[in-house]
Formats: sequence, structure tokens, C-alpha cells
Amino acid sequence: MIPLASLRRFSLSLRFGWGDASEQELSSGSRAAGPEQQDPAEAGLGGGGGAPNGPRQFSRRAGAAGVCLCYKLPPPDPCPSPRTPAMLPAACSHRLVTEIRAALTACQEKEKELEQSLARCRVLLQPWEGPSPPGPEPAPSTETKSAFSECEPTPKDLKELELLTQALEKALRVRKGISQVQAKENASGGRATTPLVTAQADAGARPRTSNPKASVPTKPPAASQRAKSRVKKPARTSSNRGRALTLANQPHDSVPMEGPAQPCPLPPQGQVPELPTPTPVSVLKEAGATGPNPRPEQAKIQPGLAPEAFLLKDKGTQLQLPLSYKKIASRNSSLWAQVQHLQSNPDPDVAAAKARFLERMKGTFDLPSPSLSLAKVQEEVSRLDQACHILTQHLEETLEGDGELSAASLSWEQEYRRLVTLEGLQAAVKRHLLKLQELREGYRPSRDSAGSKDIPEEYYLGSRTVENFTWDSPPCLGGKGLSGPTNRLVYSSVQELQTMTALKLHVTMLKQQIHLQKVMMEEFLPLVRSETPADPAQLALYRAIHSQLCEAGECFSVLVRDEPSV
Amino acid sequence: MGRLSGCRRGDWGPRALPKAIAALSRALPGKPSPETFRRAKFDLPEAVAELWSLLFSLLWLIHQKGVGSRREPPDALEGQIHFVKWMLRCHGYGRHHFYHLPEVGSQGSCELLLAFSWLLEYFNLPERFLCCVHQVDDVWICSCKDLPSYRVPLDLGPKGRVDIRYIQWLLGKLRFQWRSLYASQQEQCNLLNKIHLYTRGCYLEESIDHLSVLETELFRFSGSTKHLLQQLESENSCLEGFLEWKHMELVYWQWMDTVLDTRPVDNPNTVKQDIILPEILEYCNPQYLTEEMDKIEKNLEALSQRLQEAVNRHRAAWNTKVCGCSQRLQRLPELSTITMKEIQEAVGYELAALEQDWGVKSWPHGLHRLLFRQAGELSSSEIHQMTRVIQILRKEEARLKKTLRSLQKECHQELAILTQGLEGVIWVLPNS
Repeated sequence: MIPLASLRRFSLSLRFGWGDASEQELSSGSRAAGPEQQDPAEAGLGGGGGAPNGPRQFSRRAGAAGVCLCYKLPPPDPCPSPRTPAMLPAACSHRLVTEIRAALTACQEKEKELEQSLARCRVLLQPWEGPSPPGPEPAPSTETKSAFSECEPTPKDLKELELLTQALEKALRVRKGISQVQAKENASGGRATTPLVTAQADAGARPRTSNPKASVPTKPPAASQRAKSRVKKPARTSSNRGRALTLANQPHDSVPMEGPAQPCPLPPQGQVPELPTPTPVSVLKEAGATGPNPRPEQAKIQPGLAPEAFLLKDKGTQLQLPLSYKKIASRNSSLWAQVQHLQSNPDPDVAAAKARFLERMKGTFDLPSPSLSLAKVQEEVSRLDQACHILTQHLEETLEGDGELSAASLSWEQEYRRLVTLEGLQAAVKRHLLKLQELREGYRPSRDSAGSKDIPEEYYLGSRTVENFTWDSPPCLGGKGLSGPTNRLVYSSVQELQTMTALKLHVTMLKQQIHLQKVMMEEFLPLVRSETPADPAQLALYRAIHSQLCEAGECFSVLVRDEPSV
Repeated sequence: MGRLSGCRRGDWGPRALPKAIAALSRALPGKPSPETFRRAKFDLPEAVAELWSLLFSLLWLIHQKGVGSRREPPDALEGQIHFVKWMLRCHGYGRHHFYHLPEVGSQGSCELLLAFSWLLEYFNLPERFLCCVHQVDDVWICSCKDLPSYRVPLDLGPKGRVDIRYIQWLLGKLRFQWRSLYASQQEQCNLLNKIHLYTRGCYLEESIDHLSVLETELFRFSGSTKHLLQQLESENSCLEGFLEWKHMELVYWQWMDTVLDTRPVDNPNTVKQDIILPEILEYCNPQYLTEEMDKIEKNLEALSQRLQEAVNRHRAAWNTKVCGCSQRLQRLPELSTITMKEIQEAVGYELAALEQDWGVKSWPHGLHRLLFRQAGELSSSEIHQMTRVIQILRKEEARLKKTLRSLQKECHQELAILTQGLEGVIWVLPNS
């Protein structure tokens, strides 16, 4: 029953369709080549933020007039193939490229910032080595002494140990280059395993808290055993570094939600048995005295000891801020509190004096100045623009289903409500139009006012023509509120934090998208209106415009040439 | 602080003014010297250069904060003076004499002092510049701080025609950029939480249970200690200056009164200086504003017309319904006057809430420090705060989505001439 013409159409549409497919393949090839376009989390935006869906789905459906190849669009080939050039006019090209590039730059800068702070965080979560953290200044030395006096090793042993450690450290530094290579390899293969890390930290803590049982009768063996366990260290550290990297790179894999003092959810003792696990009484005592929630193998970090790698995860709770910092920081917060207090209780005399000054100043203003400053008008205008959008949306909502539901099927209340809403909207629009009129009159200085004759136009309108700009939102002048550290936002889980940031990002993304949509509408719609389609190039252009404007560039229509059958 | 609060009005002493100005200059980024102010009162030429650069540095900071662009400031003095003049013009400063100040030379320090004082009041100045040392775990809850949409002047872009597919490719790239931003942000949340989690118990104050990233870095890199301490130290000094200024501010304003009394009169012989619009301020352009207003007016009028039609239609339908009913029953059976009043009130509230939504007043604006506390330890206000932020963001998201959709719908209607009326071509929509 298929007429010849439609068969012809069918084959044609196929041609169109496959043309698209090859374009698609081409572009996906180019995407794979460009590393900056690799998406690190293909899981994508669908999760927390409710952002656009993943783009790389193909769906083929039978269309009305043949095969409709509808695919979610990956960006097409950057260098247009000579097949169907669909060139845009110069002015249009220029504006669009500039706008989109600007949006890209904004994103890239944001990303760069984020990357920097990510790097900072990652460093903190990797094993710490090098100079041990500064403890509380005066206290540690005495504590260290007492710890030493309680333990068995003689100062001579300790000296030897220190020399050994230094040598090992050197080795570690030399091996760093290698370990980084390993780290990369590990990162590709391995998953984070915390046990090793825990064991590592234990090894680091041990020399000071040596096993008293072992050390009472025989000092040398204990020392040699220690030495042995340390000799293994560099290699282990290197693997740890690699793993830690992996850990940092796989945020979704390990999110321990319990307190740091609790044992790790992964089998933490996996590696430990092969090492003697020391639970010396002295350490228990000491840790109990200092740590808020001590684990036996956790020892307080103190300066002056051989630097050892450890993880923030294990020792974080025992860090103590230096006294000098504490002092300044507490002064800082008390100052902020005072500032806040002043803000909420302004001095009425000062306010009066200021007002008087302003009034007197205004009295001396002799420019035929508009009653509203440009900045104020700017603010009002963008507010009105937003208002217009919101009112339009509300109208759509109110009239929704107007077609299907006839007035008869609505209840009396519903119908009355709709009428009242519509009238309310009407009043609001009238108010806004009035306001706009006021603004127009407000910022244009009265031309006929005295004294304005000798003042050139430039005073109001600027001397050169300037390209127009679109405001998404009024410029935020930093906000009236203070941005002191007293502003706090408390979150209770990663999920909550992630939801919040994802939403925040999505909001800004949408703003950008809307801005670009408006720009594209301004540029593309006149093109469509002005020209009548003739050749395939024109059609390709229309097809692309339609996709960008109506489908956010995610879907394409299929055009079928309906040639008259001969 | 005890020292300061002890000071009561009247016992400031004879050196109160210089003290107040010194305090002010500690709180301001430019750090002007009190001596400059004294000279400016007598319109001495020595103060001119310093005052211009002070005005410029303040206004540039404000401008940058507002627009979020990272353009280079004009380095020539002439450009800076242009900028200052235009910025003040934009904000409605109306002293003729000021705009006639020459761009070279040494006239008008008193005029500049007046402008400075006006700025101080208008922009709420020392307060605006108070900010704390930036922490990694700070978050801007503010619609304007992320992804500032740059107003790039078009002359920066490349010239020449491009294929539409290049545009599509660029847009696709932008999409990927969004995704990678999202991924990085999620990871950032994760890492922050880890650091907060691992350092719990290292509290400084009772209300903060863990270290910030910056504080943790203190331990990791002993070199950063000094830097951070310096930063904090200077912040403290700025805050101290601010507090002192706040206590002595009255002296300054009283003094400014006397300056106004002796203000210079406009010399009609001065050379006229046009205000030349510097490139950076294109956004604050009257021509642009006029265009924007035209656009809004057009939209509003279209909306008004649509509403008029809808109201007419519905009122007519309502009237026939009411008439038909009252003929039979003498009164409205379903709707009492009380219910009608209730409906009117409810709709009134709804529309008022709608208006509030676009005023950004409800926005918990500003920089916030992120703090972690486990669910059980949260006070109710803290839970409320976060929930509120999320709620507002969701609302905003929904609103923007709707806007985008309505724009797309509009395009769809516009393009109907294509999809339906092309001769010799059948247009198959992706969703058909």
C-alpha cells in the first residue's frame, strides 16, 4: 500500500539519517581525542541536581514518513564538512561565538579555582610526611621527655634510630619519583585499601611507644626488629601514596560516616597481625590523658620525633592548633562579634549626622541630574524584567488545562479563583507598566530645565555607542550583609552538602543557559523569518536552529524532501 | 574592646579627628593618611593625587565585586580619573564642579574630599570592605557569585562567518564543561567533609568542632603558618580600625559639615571636561538601558493584552454561569460571599508571595563558613537554615527551568512556519 512517492521519501530520509550518523561518529571520535572534553563523572548531573540527562543515548524510532533517527546530540564536528556548509551571517556568528566563549571562559575559570582547592584538600588527605606538625609549643617537650623516661630504649638507641630514619628518609625522597609512577599505575588498577594505611601509621607511632614486654630483657632484638619493620617502609609508603591518590580520586567509593575514633568500616586489622601490635600501658595512659576518644594505637603527634608518614584520618583528631594561632583567631572572632553587634545597633547620632551631610550635599548638586541614578534604574529594570517573566509563568499556570477542562467541569470555587487570579495579574502588570514609565521619566533628565542647555548630551548618554549587554541579574554589590566568619552554614552529611552545591550549580547553569537561549533567539529567529528556504544548505541551517532553540541541542528533527514523483 | 567602649562622646580630646581618620584609613583598602584629609580641607594641591588614587581604588573594588569580571584596571591616571567620574555619574553624584576637574594638574582636592565622603555614605564603605580571610570551606550563598556571566564586549570576539555547526560544537563543549564542574564540585564536597570529619575534636571554639582546611594546612605546611598568621593579623587590625572608626565617626561627619561650609565655588572659567565613557562600564550604558526598557515594555504590553482577553473571556463565562444560576435559585448556591472573600484574600497572598520571590531579599546572602555537625548534634535553627537554603535553591531552580521551557515553547511557535510550511519538505520533529 505504500505509494511510490513515499518509498522514495523513505530512501531519502535514510540518506539524511545516515548522514547524521556519520556526523555523529565523526564527532564522537573527535571528542575522544580531546581530553578536555572527557567527562570525569559520566554518572552525570542526573543525580542530585536534576540536571540534563546524559547525552549519549541513541534512540531510533520509526517516524511518520520513514526512519526517524533521533539521537541525543553530542557536539558535532568542529570543522564543518564541505558537504553542507551552513554558514551564519557575520554579525550573528560574531555575537554567538563571543557569547558562548565567554560562558566557556567563566566555567573554565570556576573549574580552575575548584581544581586548586581540590588539590589542596587532596594533599591534606594523602599521607603526611616531612616535618611533623607543630604541636602545642611548650607542652610537648616535657611530655616527650616523660614518655621517653617511661620507655626502655636508651638515648643511644634513639640516636641510632634517628640516624636510620634519616637515611630511610633520604631513600624515600629518592624513590619518590618511582613511587609517583607507581601511584599512577596503582590508581588505574587498585582500589583504596585502608588497612595498609592504618598499619603504616602504627609503624610510625611505634618507636616511641615500644613494646615494654619485649624490651625489658632484650634490647637489641627489639631494636633490630624495629629496624626491619622500618626498612620495609619506603616501599609500603609508595604504595600507600598511590592508594591514597586513588582514594582521593574516587569520592563515591568511600564515605565513612562514623566518627574518626571508631574503627574503620573496611577490615582494619587485615595487615596488622604480621606486625606486633603494641598496646603498652604507658601509651594507653598518655593517650587517655590527651585524646578525646583515644584508640590504643593512636599516639599523640609530637615534634622532635622522626618524621613519619601518617594519614589525617588517623591522627586528625589529635592535632592541636599552635598557641599563637589560637590567640589571634580568638581575637579575630571576638572582633567580629563586636562588629556584628555594632551593625545591629547603629548609633542614631551618626546616622543623623550622615543624613544631614547627604542632604546638604544634594543641595549643592548642580547638574540637571535625573531623579534616579543610572545604577538604580539598572537595578529596577532587571527587577521588572524578572517580574514580567514570573507573571507570564503564573498566567500560563492559571490557564493550564483551559482547553480540556471546560468551564462547566470546574467547581465554583475553582472558577472564581481563576478569575480573581487573572484580575490580580492584570493589576500587577498595569502597576509594572506604570513603574516602567516612571523609570523612563526618572532617569532621563528634564531637557527643558534651566541650566541644561550648555551641558552636552554626553553627560547623560555617553559619547560613544556601545554594544548592548544582557543582564541576567542585577549586579550584586557585595550584599548589604557582612561576610564575616560569623555567617555559618551547618551541614550534617555529605549528601546534604552535595545536594546543596549541586542545586547551586544547576541554578547558575540554568541562568547561563537562559541567557544563551535569549541571545540565540535574538540572532536566529530573524534569520528564519527573513529568508525563504531553497537549497539543502538552508535546510541544514534550519534544522540546526530548530534543534538548538527548541530542544536545547539535544534532539534533531529529520527533514524529508518530498520530491514530486515523476 | 574595653578601651574603646570606655570612650564616650565628648571625651575624645583635641586630637579626635586625626585619630578617627587614622582609624578609618586602617579599615579601608587604600590606607589614606590623615594628613591628606587635612590638606584637602584647605584645597591644597598636595592631596590631589592621593585622593584620586584612593577614589579609584575604592570604586574599582566595588565595580569588580559587582560585575565579577577580571578585567585589568586602567593604569594611566587619566583612565582612572575617567573611570571614577563615570562611576560616580552612574550612581547619581551631581556636583558639576567635580566633573570639570582637570585630568592633569593639582586642582580640586577639596572637591575630591567631598566626593569621597559622599561615597563613604552612599556605598556604606568601610563595612563593605570588611571581609575575612578566605577559607577553602567557605561557600557563597549568593546568586551572583558563581559563574559570573561575563559581559564581554563584542570587539573581543573573533570576526568572520562561521558554520552553525561550530556554534553547536561550542555549545556541546559548554555542556561538558558544566558536567566536569559538577563532578569536581561533588568531589570537593566529599573531601571537605572528610577533612571536617577527621579533625573533629580539635576545636577552637565551642561552636566549631573541627578544623577548617586552612587550619589543617597549618600543620601540614609549617611555612603556611606565618602567612596565615599575617593575614589574620592584618584582618584584625582592619577590624580594630573599623571599630574605632565606628566609635568616632561622628567627629568626622561634624568636621565634614565645616568642610561643606567652606567648599569651593564653581569657577565658571574652568575648562569643560566631557565625561568619556570608559570601556569597562559599558553595562551601565543609558543606551543599553533604553533598549532594555523597550523590550520589557513590549513584553509587558503583550502580557497585558493576553490578560485582558483572558479576563474578558472568563468574566463573560462567569457571568453567564451566575446568571443562569440566579434565575433559577435567586442566589449563588455554591459560593457564599464569605468564601469569595476568602478566595480573594488567598489569591492576594499568593500574588504577593510571587512578587517577593523576585525581590532577592529572602536570599540568605553572603559568604558562609561550612561547618559539619552530625545529625544528632544539630540545633533546630541550624537544621532549619540548611533546609531553607536548599528550599530556596530548589524554588529558584524550578523557576528557571520553567523560564527556559517557556522560551523554548516560544521558539517552537515561532518556528512553526518552518516545521509546517516548507514546500517540498516534510519536517519530522524528534518527538513526533
